[in-house]
Amino acid sequence: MEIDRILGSLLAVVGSPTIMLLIVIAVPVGMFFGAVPGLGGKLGIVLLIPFAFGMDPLPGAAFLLAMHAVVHTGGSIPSILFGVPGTGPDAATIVDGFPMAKRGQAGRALGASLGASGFGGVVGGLFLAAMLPVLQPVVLAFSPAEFFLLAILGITFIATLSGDSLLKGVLIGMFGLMLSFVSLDPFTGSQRFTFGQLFLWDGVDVIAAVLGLFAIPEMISLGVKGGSIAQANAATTRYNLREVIDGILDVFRHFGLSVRTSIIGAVIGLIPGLGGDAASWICYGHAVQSSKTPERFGHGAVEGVIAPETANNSKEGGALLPTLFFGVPGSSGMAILIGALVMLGIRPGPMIALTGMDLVWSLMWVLMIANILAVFMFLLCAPFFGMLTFVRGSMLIPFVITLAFLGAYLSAAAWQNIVVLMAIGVFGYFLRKYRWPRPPFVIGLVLGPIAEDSLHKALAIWGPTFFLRPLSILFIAMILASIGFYFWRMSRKGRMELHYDN
Amino acid sequence: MIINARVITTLAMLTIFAGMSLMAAGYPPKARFLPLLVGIPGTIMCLAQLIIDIRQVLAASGDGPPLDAEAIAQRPREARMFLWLGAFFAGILAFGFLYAAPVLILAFMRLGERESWTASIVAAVATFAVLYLVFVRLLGLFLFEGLITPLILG
Repeated sequence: MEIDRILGSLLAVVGSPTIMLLIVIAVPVGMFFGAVPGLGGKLGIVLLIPFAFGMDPLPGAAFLLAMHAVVHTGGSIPSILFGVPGTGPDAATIVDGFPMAKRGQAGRALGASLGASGFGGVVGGLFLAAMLPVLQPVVLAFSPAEFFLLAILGITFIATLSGDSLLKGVLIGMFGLMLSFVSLDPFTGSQRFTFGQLFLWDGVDVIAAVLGLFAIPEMISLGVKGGSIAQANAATTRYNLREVIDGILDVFRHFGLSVRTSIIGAVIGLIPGLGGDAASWICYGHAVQSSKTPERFGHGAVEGVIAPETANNSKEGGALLPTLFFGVPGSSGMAILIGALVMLGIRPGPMIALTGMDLVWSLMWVLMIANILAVFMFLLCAPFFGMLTFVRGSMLIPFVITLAFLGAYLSAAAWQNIVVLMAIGVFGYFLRKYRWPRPPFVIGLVLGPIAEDSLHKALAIWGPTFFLRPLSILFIAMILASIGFYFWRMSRKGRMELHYDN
Repeated sequence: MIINARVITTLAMLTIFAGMSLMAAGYPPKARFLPLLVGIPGTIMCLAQLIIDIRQVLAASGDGPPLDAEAIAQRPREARMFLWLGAFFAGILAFGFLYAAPVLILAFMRLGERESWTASIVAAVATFAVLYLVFVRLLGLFLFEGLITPLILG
């Protein structure tokens, strides 16, 4: 029965020319957003949202997920060629990738990163497949008490991992929560913070808020900075295709490491908020610790490229699990994806375990197909990566701003959303400038309604004693552990930099 | 000077939390429960952040470079970007996507960034083509016409 469903889902994806075409379009777009420093996957996904309007749920979700899945494949390009991370989690690739490029092994480093990304993506998809039968009964056993605490855990995790200041991270998460309360109260029907505006009765639009918080501040910053997006050293951008293929083979020469770091990455992705930089740095650390010649790391060891790159892509498979089944995003990128899925008519949450398993399996296939396709597209485009140095802010800014306005308007067909986008965008710029981490805001905004609904239900069923349920105690312990982890991380700062956003 | 953009950002957060908490106090018990549960600690934490920011500003006001020296140097370009953003906002709100976006892109690239006429015109035409062909024709979406355009076109 389950095999029929799995194969049926595969057929639904590969047998649909529309879905396959959308994946083929989404993959290079995702790689581009990853490869241009300062853009990144979050921005990519919010800018693609307008194009997904009007699509059926599966093609729309496949389009956005395929784009999101390969961002880090592209993100390794500037890390290796220019020593500039395309996205935060790609920073670990610089440590060995850039030294390899400087000593004339750019092609091999790119190949290793490409092979590792594809390998990690496929293992991440397989991890998701292996976990689905296990997770299904667990999800259905969760009560409102667990959902409330899971929502709080998600916010805490992201807040503690989002930057230098715990206080700022938590405050921004709480700000997202506060904005999520703008709506008609679901229990009393009274207006909350709506100022009599009809368009706010359903709440602040997640898409408009996310576009405002990420797209607008990034474009203002790009305009303020001016010039080219990446600077290149001619010596580091010379390589040929044979070197790239040799790099791909390196992944299989270090097969054990590739498998281990892929699995570690997928497990880290599973834990809400712990993905991103943590996965790549932890796997980099594992590669160093498990090497017989750790002294080579930092000077151009190919394993130092393979480990973070496998983790970067495999974590997306793990991150899909809490995103789809609990409605609790595994990362800020997944939080944006939740908003997009809701827009497409897919409601992530426990009900998906009963009624949406076909979709879940299809998305798993999309994840794997996108990662495999990315390998071929990467090879096709490899000779042109040096051209990234010519991408100038002036060419991107007006288009991104227009798309942001368009996305905000289309998300609810309300022009007032453009005003919301503008207000949040200007505020978001100053948050970015003064190093307030923005990802917790999205998590708070997405999780607010889940937290409120679950809390009221839990209180109605058990009263305040729901905190004393065994699973509740476990979640409270995890919340405390995440805060403890923050202080541990701060004490090791410098050895292990973690930045989601700044 | 104690009041700078960094402090103002924190003050804005404080105002939002405090204002929303005050508003929430007037709602029915179930409706105000969670907003107050988040809003009151948020207000207190914002105050703590404000104290941290002011102490940093005061510490930096002694010897050495000012805390936000780079930020101050960026102000002219920042103001220019805000003006352009405002132009996009006002233009699209007034005249809608199809008419305003290509014109604004042409203006930004040619006047704002001194790109060539060719590149600017190509970008503007491409924008119109994508908006019309992809969003209107292919996806069948209704694009906002602006608040003024319908009055002009009737």
